[in-house]
Amino acid sequence: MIEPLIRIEDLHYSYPGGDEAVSSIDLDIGRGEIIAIVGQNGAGKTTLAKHFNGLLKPTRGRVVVGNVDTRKAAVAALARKIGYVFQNPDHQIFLDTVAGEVRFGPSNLGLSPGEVQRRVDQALEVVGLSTLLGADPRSLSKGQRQRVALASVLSMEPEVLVLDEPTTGQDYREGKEIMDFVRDLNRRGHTVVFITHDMNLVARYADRVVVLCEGRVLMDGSPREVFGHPETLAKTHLVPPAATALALRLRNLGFGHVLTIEELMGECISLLGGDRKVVCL
Amino acid sequence: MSAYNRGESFVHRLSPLTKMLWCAAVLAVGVAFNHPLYLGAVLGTVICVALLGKQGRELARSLSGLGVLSLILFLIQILFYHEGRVVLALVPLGHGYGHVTTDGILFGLAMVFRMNSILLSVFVLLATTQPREIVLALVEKLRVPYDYAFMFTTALRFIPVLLAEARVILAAQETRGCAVSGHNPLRKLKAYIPLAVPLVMISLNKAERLAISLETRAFGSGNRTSYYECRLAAADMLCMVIVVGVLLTSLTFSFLGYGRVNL
Repeated sequence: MIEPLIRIEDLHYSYPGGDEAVSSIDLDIGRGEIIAIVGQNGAGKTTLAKHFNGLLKPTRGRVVVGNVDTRKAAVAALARKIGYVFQNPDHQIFLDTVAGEVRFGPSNLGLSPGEVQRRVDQALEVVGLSTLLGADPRSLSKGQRQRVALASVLSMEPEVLVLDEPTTGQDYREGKEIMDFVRDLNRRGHTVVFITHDMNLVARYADRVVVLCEGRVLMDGSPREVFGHPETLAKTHLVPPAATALALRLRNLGFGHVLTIEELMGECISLLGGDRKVVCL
Repeated sequence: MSAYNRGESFVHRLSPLTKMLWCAAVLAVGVAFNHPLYLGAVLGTVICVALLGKQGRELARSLSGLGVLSLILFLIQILFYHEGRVVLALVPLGHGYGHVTTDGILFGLAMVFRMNSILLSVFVLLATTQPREIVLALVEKLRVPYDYAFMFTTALRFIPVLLAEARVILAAQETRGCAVSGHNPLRKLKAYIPLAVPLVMISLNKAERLAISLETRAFGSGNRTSYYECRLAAADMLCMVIVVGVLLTSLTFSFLGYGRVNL
């Protein structure tokens, strides 16, 4: 097993005056993993994610980041380790230029001006906003503002990056660019946790999927394992990606378990007697 | 503090008009007297009404919230009020400064009781009355234009929403390493900018969206009629008579010099 970076032990949390939003969650997040959290609305995805950097403190059980119990640490201190991108960018945008907004995070970390500048440039490059450095974030579209918010956390280069629905409001290409960069970060050693409703995103980018249902972990495994159990997924109103579902239906014809359209094509070609490598190019 | 607590009690069933009259009476009596004993009695009646409305738990919560404010108010009074017999001299030398006096203590207590009874009476009104009923009472009985009544309740309705937004904003800025701490007041003020700006922007956006959704639903396009009516029952009449009676008696007594100390 990979060294756990975030360890969650018997986590319970109820919002003041509400029912339990998550209960009995045991989860280890290893260094270098890229994990998707999925589940229907109200399954507890955001509640769980907010425990990673101490935004919420457990009502029972504990969350340990590195070797720090989140109950004993301030969010601003944990922010060096754990970046969190919120769903709504308007909750954080307060400066009148894109560059200034992205600079705010790293300059709170006490880095040298050169280092701050390097990070700002890089983060803006990644989200494709380099040409809008001086623009007022409020005059941008919602999708663009979301990317400003993302860049402002990326520029802090946290060990763990938590993304709450990073691709909502983005078109296909924008979403892909963001996720490709997130995967690059992951390959460079950053741990990534993202919340999503998009199963194709899970199939393409995640190494591991945690499926939540009514505040509990329903399944935890690789996308291949998890999407192989459509009946269990249905409990939390999820369906596997279309390619996977189709291949499952065509099992009698000899189709194997696939995750993406490309793999499905590969199966078709090899069933027809061709060389699947041709397609993978 | 601003939220309506659904419930079933005598106070819940009373007309909003009766409760508003009661609030006004508490305010008038609270200002008319300045003796802590009398004001303590006023606070006592407010607490009784709150308990009658089954608001015990919420009352305790608001009281503990107001406690800090009360303490500050009390301390300011006893530290800066110098008439009367000196009970305790914090600074032995000089005149006045740091002298805690009997009158200071009495005056401080009076202020605390006064503030708490006025605020808590409004709290009881809001906790036991649906905003819709308040609007209805204002519009139908007090002839307040509907637009103004609507504005009033919308403002009340948005307090908890904005508090929730403020919490999310605080969380979002904290995750960017922004910490509101330290002792330098200027720096502290500066640290609040990342919180204040998004909150104002979000509120403006919300107001604009609200205006649009109101207009798309034909707000202000003609005379409104309403399904519910603001009715005054026998219990309301009785309560109003009692409230007015107590109010007039109190004002008379206060005019005659009872419950007033020359401070």
